[in-house]
Amino acid sequence: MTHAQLSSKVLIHETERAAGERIKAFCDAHHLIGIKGQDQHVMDALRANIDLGGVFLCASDSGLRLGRQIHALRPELPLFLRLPQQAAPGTGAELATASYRAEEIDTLKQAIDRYIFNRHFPAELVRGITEITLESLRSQFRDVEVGCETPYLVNDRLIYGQMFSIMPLETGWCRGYMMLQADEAAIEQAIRLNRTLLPADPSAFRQVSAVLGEVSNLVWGGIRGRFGNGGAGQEISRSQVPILINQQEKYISFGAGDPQLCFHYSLRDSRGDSAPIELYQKFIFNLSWTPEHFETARPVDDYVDSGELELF
Amino acid sequence: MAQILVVDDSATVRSEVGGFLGQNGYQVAVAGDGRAGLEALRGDAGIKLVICDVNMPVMDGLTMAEKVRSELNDQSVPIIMLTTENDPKMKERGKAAGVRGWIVKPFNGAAVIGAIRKLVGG
Repeated sequence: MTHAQLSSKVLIHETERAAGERIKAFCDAHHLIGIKGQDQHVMDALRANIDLGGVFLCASDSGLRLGRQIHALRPELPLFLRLPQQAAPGTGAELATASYRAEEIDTLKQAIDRYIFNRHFPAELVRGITEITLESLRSQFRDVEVGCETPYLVNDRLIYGQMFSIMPLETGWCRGYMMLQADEAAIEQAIRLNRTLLPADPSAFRQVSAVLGEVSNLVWGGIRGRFGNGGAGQEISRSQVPILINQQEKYISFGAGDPQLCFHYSLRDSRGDSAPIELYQKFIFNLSWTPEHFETARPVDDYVDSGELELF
Repeated sequence: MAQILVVDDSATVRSEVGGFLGQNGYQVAVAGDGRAGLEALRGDAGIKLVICDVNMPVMDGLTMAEKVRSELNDQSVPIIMLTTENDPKMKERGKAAGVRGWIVKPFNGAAVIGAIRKLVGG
């Protein structure tokens, strides 16, 4: 099986030119796309790029300060710390995922492989996902050009935009989720300008959900149809619908219009020192609901009588 | 011209398919899930054909097709599935439920019109 050659974006802050050149060469050789963060603009670069695989920093005083800030904001990002000549081994150890000296940068490959490129994806899968998604998008939007960047690996766990859909993706050989994240205003404008299959009316955010939902549905079905075979795991062929979230509107839809069973819990500090924690637990049986098959829990005597339970 | 019921949880699909059928002279009714589709069939004897998605909340399309046969006892209204699913086991289940056609999305107007004309004429 051929594995796809993927890349990953890394934020680089390096003040020494020679070291910077070594880092650049290392990135080029190992499919890392370097995004330079210059001095006081590093945090801006971090905020502007929410799909990073890692960060390269220098273990100078300012570099370590930056490292602490970055780690506090984005703990999922591995930090690769260059130790300057004068730095003692172990400098920045509490922050660094891996440390290296510029002249030995190739030793970093093991860390890159472990913390960024630690999963290999079949090339056919990656190519197929791109094909299916491009086709799905072209079928749902008019008068648009649809493109796709080279696929890449991300350690960040941030959400792009205001809207996203989630669909469980389960086959005999893999189980997980597909997410599509989007900017609400951009899709809303496309609807208004008649770039979608919906009537070009001024639209509420729920229309945006419809567009994102159908794209999700088409892609999900295409992926399952093309890659759903194989594997020793139990094949699950149950229906699924996209879950749609609009963060801005604090809106979530499971596709069904039935009321949701909700439980509200309050956790109040008995000493009155902290604010109560409010929890809302909701059950949404949107895919199937057959209460006639519900079985009441058996009384414990039944288990004793049947021999399933012994009490001493 | 025949009245066709389009059952799909996607507003985009209901708009696209319904609009296309309307342009081709068909009267169109819509429903957003299998349960609503079943209720529409129960309440309207004029529906001559159903175009139905598989993956829908509340009640999926295959369950709806099975209930059309079992609860409505209606063997006459043809059902065409319009779905992203291409699983042979699902198709077998569809056939067993009396589904007469299976079209894989994205929507292909010519295929749908061809299937409709074959099943109900017009």
